[in-house]
Formats: sequence, structure tokens, C-alpha cells
Amino acid sequence: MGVSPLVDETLGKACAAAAVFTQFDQEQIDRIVRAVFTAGLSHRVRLAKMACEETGLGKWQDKVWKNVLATLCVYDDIKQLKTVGIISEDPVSGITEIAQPLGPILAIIPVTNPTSTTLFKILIALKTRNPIIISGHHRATRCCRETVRICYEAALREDAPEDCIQFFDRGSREETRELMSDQRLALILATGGESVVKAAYSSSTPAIGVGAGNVPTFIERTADIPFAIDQILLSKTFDNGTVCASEQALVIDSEISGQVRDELVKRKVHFLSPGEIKLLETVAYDRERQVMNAEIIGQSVAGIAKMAGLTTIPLDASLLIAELEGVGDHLPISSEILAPILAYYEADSLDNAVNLCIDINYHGGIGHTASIFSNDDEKIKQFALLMNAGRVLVNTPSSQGAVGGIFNTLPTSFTLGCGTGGKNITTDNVTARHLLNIQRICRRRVNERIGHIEETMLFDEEIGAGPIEKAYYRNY
Amino acid sequence: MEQEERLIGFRESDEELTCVFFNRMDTLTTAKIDTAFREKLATLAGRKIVFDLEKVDYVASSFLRFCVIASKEGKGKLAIINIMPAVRKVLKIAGFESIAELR
Repeated sequence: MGVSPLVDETLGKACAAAAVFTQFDQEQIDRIVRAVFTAGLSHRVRLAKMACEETGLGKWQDKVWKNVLATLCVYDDIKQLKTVGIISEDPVSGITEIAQPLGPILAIIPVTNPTSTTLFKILIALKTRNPIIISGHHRATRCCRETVRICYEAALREDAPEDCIQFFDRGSREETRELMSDQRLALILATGGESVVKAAYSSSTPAIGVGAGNVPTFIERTADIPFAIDQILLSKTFDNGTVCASEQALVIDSEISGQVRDELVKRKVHFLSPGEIKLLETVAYDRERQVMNAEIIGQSVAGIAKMAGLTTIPLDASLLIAELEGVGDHLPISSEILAPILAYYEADSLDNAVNLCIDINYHGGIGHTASIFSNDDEKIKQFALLMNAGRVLVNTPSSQGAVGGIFNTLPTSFTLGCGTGGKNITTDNVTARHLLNIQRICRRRVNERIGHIEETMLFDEEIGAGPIEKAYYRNY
Repeated sequence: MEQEERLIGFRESDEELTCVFFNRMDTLTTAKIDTAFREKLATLAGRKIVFDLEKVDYVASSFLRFCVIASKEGKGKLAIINIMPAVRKVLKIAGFESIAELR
């Protein structure tokens, strides 16, 4: 069966753009990237409102913040990066590194952060001279298409190659699969749910994907409690909890639990009764598929209360908290729920607290993120060594902290690798650095130590490793 | 016309039409020579087309479109000759070996 005309046209254009891009120098690229960053940042509010309106998720003000992060912080991170031609030279080692582009990139965009992820991926792709094809979530096509239009027009004004940015929205599922598997595609950058990431990895095209999070947040006894609670609320209410790195469960040292509860209640967090938890479970979780219910993602507390028939929730409740005794599929709120809902646990020892965090981490969140509030660096290290998380955030809001660039020095990214635990190839915050093929010129620098070893030694079975090693390291 | 003649020239025989391009084939330049190029193609009369890129050090997407048009109009495969390495790389990445002979 032949290639569909849509896929053929899209990839033909992308290949032509990739070809033309190879002729661009660093200065030309940086002019294009600056123009696109400026255009994206200028349209941050309109795009945020479009995203909120179209998807029905989150809060437009927080989506403005996401667009700011995706432009201003990403640009700040990449603007000085050398991504064209010779990027390093070491006369001692004799190795010169050259940055080469990958080729056409297919970018899958999630419904939770549609415009910000689009802006982010366009900037890092253009910075590395890779044409990009944006495939927006079906519930966010209008806002993604508009984001692409704004960026593309800005790029063209700086003489970027035609079709360096394309929007792929008319395709059927079959055509999208065909696009993913086409040999002309260099990379799939897949940010989204499990099925789309799996499709990317199964396509035979190299892919960088992400994983699900189930972020445990440990408030250790040396934490500054009012500060910790402020940070947690800042994070978990951000865009109504749509960031995959947002806290999913609080684990509290029982010695400080009284104070923690007081601080939560002061901030209008509502502790659900057992009956209320049961009602919430029916709308928050799909028991058959054993995942969160898509309808709950990014909804406000009031919206969730209405969905679940929680009639006694205060109208101004900031978060819903469910105190649980364990972790697992039998306790749906112990799973990842991208909404202003938190599971809550108390532990009477450090070991029990860390065990709970491990259980939460391994319940659908391997490789993603873990969070700790503590002023004891030894305990922070002990905690981190036991978590399977690409990023262990300390004393920061988890949503904003994981994205990077504001509360820590992680590179700003909207594609957070989860390592092999999440079936990804990296635990990094994916950035422009991941979109280059690095070529190395390797000049002759003979390892003279090899010459110390007589070949007769090597071929003599009776001679063990010791004498050979000694000969190798002999300094004369 | 004089401006365009500096950017594009032609060599003709009974069998071949050779289009000689000069300098950067960017979007502006290709827009300037578009008319002259198409008018000359209209006189092709079944001949083979050759593109001589000896003096070309950069090609934009608009020039690649010229190649696609020529590959459809001429007899046999379009031949592209005297290609500088950077431009050869562009033609290869764009997959043009399937529509043209790169010499």
C-alpha cells in the first residue's frame, strides 16, 4: 500500500525544509529563534485563553504562566547554546565536536499544556535546525494551530525555510501512525498519555517520550511547615493540577501532623470524610481501565464537587484531601489524579514515611518526580537515593519545580523524561541539547600505554591480568 | 531583464536546455527570475533540462521548487551539474536523487 498523499506531502515539505536548514549558520538560527520567542511571548494571554476555552481545563491565568515559561525561560536557557557547526574544540584530547541537526521531528502535544508545549517544542526544534511537525491533541487543535501560525509567521519574517513548522491536524489515526513510521521522519517527541507514547516507541522511528507521574511529597519533621504548605498549594492549585509533576500524595511525619493539618485547614483545604471519599472515587477514577477519569483532569474543586455530588464541600475550598491507609488500585485516590485532589498519609517513623513514598512512587509514577520538604540534607539524600524519580525536588512547589528554571536550575522543559522505569530513554528535562546529532572529529592521539604491553604477554594464556595491568600502568 | 540576466542564463542545443544559475538562490532571487525561467521552459519542445549550479552557493525552498517543476517538464531525468558540496548535501537530504541526476 502506498503512502497517503497527506503524509507524503507533509514529509516531503519537512525534508525540503530540513535540507535548506543545513545551510543556516548560528547567527541566522538565533535570529529566527529570537523572533519566534518574541512572538510567542507577545501572544501569551490570547493563546492561554484559547487553550483554556477549547480544552475546558485549568485556569487561563496559569496557562499564561505556562506560556511565559515555555518562551521566556526556555529562550533564556537556549539562547547562548551553540547548536550549529563546531561547538567545542579540545587541543589536548584532539576531539572537535560538531552539531548536526536530526531532521524532521514530529511533536505530539498533550491536552493539558497545549500552547505551552507547542511553543517549547518549536523553539528547541528551530534552535537545532530541525523542521517540526506539530500534532495537537484532538481537544486542542484550534489553539495549537494558532500557536503554530504565530510562530511560523515570525520565523518566515527572519527567512526561515518554508515549512520549517507545520501543523498536522487533518490526519486519521491511520495517517498519524503512517507518519510516525515513515523513514523520512527523524524523531518523535511524544508528550502525552501512555497510549500515544507507546505508539511512538512502537513506530520504529527514534522517540523521546514521557511517563506518568504519581508524585509523593514527604514533609519531614525539620521542614518549615507553613512554608511547605504554601508551596504545595501553589503547586497543586496551579492550573487546577494539570501538570504531571504536581503532588499526588502528602506523607507527613506524625510528629508534625497536627501543625500540618492546622496549616492546611487555615488555607481552606477540605479533608474529605470516608463517605465523601467514596463519592469522589466514582468520578475521579475509571476502575475498569485503572486510570484517572479523563473528565476530572484540570477541573476546579467546585466543578469536582458538583460532578461527585459532594454537597457539603465549602464553596471556597482550595483543595480536596483524602486521608488513606494504603496505596493500590483498591484505593483510587492513591493513583495519579491531575486535579486539585491529594492523598494524605501520616507515618510514625522515617522508615515508614519513606516506605509509603516508595509505594506511591512505584504505583504508576516510576521515574517521574518526588518531592521533599526538609532542612536535613542527610535525610534529603537518603530519601532521594530510595526514590525512582528523574527529579527529586527539595523545598519547592512540585509542578513549577519539575518544569525547571524558576525554583531551581533544572533546564526549563515541558517534556520530562522518566528513564527506563517510565520506558523512556532519559530522565532529563528534555531540551535543545537532546535534538542534536553530535559528530566528533577525532585526531590521532596514541595511547602509548598500550605499547608497554608486549604482544607475547597477551597471547600467553599462563599470564593473568595482574602482570598485564602492571605493564599497562608502568610509568617510564 | 538585465537584472535577471545576471542571475540566470541559458545554453541551448537541439537536445538540451541548460539553465545556468548565479549566486544565492534565495527566496528573493528566485522570485526575480521566476518569469524568465518559466518563459524559457515554455520553449522546451521535448528537450532534456540541465541545471548548472557552478556559481550557486545557497538554495532556498523556492529553488527546490524550480527543480521539481523542471523534473516534470523535461525529457528524461533532470540533470543537476557542477554542484558545490553544501548544495549537494541539501539536494540529497531533500531526497532529490529520486527526481534528478546529481553530477
